Amino acid sequence: MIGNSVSRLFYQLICIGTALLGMTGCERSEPPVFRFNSVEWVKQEKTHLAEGEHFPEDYKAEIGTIMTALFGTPDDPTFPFFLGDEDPAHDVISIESLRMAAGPTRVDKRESATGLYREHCAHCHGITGNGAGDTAASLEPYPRDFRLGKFKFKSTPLRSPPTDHDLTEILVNGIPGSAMPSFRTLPEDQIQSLVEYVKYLTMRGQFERFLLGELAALDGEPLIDLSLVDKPDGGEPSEDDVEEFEDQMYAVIGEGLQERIIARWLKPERKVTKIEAAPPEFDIQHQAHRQFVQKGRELYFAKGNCMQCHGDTGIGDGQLNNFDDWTNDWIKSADVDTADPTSYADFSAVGALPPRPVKPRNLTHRYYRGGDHPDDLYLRLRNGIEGTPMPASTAMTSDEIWAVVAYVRAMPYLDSTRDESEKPVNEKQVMR
Amino acid sequence: MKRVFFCTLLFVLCVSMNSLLFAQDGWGNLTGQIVISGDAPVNQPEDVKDNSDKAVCLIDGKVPLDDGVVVNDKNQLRDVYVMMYTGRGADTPDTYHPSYDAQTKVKLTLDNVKCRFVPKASFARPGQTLILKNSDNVGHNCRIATMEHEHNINIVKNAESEIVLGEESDKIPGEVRCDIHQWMDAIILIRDNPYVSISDKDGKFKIENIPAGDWKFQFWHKKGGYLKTIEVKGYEPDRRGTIELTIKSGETLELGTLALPGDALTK
Amino acid sequence: MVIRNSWFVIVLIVVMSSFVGCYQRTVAPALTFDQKKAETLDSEIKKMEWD
Repeated sequence: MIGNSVSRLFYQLICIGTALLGMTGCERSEPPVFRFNSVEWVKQEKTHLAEGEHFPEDYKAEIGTIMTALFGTPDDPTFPFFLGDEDPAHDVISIESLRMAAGPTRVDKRESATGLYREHCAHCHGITGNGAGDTAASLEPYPRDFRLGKFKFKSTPLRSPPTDHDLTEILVNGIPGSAMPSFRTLPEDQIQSLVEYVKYLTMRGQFERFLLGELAALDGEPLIDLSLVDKPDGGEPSEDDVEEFEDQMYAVIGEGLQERIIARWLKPERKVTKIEAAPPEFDIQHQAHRQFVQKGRELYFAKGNCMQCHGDTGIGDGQLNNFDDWTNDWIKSADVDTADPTSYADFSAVGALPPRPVKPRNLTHRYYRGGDHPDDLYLRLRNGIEGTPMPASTAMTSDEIWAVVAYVRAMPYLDSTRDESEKPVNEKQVMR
Repeated sequence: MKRVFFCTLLFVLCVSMNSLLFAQDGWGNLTGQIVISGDAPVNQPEDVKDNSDKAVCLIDGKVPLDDGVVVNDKNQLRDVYVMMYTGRGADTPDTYHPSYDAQTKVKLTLDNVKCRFVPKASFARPGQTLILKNSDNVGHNCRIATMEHEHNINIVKNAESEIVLGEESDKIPGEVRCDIHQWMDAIILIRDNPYVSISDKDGKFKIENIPAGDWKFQFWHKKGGYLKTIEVKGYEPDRRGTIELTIKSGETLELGTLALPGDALTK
Repeated sequence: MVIRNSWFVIVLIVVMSSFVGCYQRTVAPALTFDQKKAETLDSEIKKMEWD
């Protein structure tokens, strides 16, 4: 009886506690505002200023104002079409797509959706596309930060943006071996709107990084001095003022955004790497296929240089202390020691996730993050993987690349069938 | 008599040829020499760890010292970029001297020798071909990452690969790395404006055929960033490490010895 | 007893989930901007001749 009333009291307390918690409420996990790239800010300070020195705080609001004028807000995105209706950037991004992906999640009476990005992407990639959504810290690998403008799985070489088709493939297929799921069930127009929204966030982030990079070259003066043309007393600006203002606009926005960033995103299809046809031996039923795989194995150890990172047996135990570019971007700053969290506390304080080494892929599993079609593997070898240590194999002929692809595809099945003479040429044995 | 006349003629010819070749009408040169004042930073041994290619990478059986700051016995500093400033608000010439036209057609070699990039610092023009060479008996990769350029090429042992650089220009040098041997690093500047000189082993630099006029020049080193504390007689570098120089037609502007305090090189 | 246990589980889930919602990582600060200036800049951008 006594036990009963005690437990009843216990439940009552819990219920009251829960109710109280519910009443106080929790802050929304991420309010719909873009986040400032503070990691880049801290990095630029460390690169260009003496210890303890800081850029003027005003610059943060100035960058925010320029960014908002050009790209709008998460609820009301816009895009700078400098040449009006004639602007070739209309092929890259359409305002309709942005509206569909942006804003709060809802479906109206005619079943046209908005807020797709917040519904499907923001919890991992963040409202800003900074790869720092609520779940980010607990995912391995971390969700992609779009702001560097780097994409791993694409048909174009390094520094060339992916095509819409490349991004669509990722959305449709997901990325096996990571937390990125497939969005195969979404209708085509919704996928397309998300693809364009990812490009929007990427260009936005690239431009913000550019602006932050410019700070070191300033000496207290603003990036764009609006007071030159918008006189506080309402007076007419002089001709010199207008000319000076236009120079600033061309330098910051014309050169920094239009030429450096948007122009590169125009027609990425022209940069797509040609995939040469595979030789007949690539076919698993061809009588010379076994020799072809053997040739691929020799290349794996010699010309391909693959074992340096992926290990002699392909389990990915070669180089284990490299970092990817998204991490290298800030850990290369002076005095950062990845083994000592106190050495990068100032970066953690503004949201940088703890650095984790990049793992060379274990090739004995049949998971290929960028797709398991032979063409996908061919592209990874030919172009390398942007943002990672995986280099491009310019020295190999297309037949040689196909041989390595054949060997890599055979790897998951080799251990059990390999006879003694086919053991790795290098005697380092791996136990794990 | 004839002999004296001939010698004089030859001398006059040489002098005039020299000025024709190196300081033509409307163009001038710039020279100087960079020396560290006080103590140069001491280079630490490279972080080779237990890399499996240790045998190839050691020099005389020992772990090599980092080559971040290279000075000779007179403390003269190598690898300083002296370059016409092309950053924000810069005034730059519209045309370059024709002698630079051939530069883009020359193939530039970047070698790997005992797990070290040779040369440590280089300058290339957009569209130029780079030969990525590997003289070592181990594989390397060559990762070029500047503001505007990016390449990551696998280079087979004792072999070479060629790449053609894109058309974009950088404002400051970027880095070259090898992911397999992470202590390996080099610097490269890729830009169209050819008025760049990298100080040699004696700290000397020379930029030829600069259009006559007032131009800003910048001093930059990997370990010091913008060298704002460099001492140039008669000039006061700003926070970007730039000074404005007047280049006179047919003349060589000699800056003489430029002293750089050793504590500027700590990055 | 069975009923009581399942109540306990339900209450536990509610309490736990409220805690999960409150958990916050360090996040980057919000982008700050001046709305009026942004509008002025936007109209200046539209006024300019770009090519």
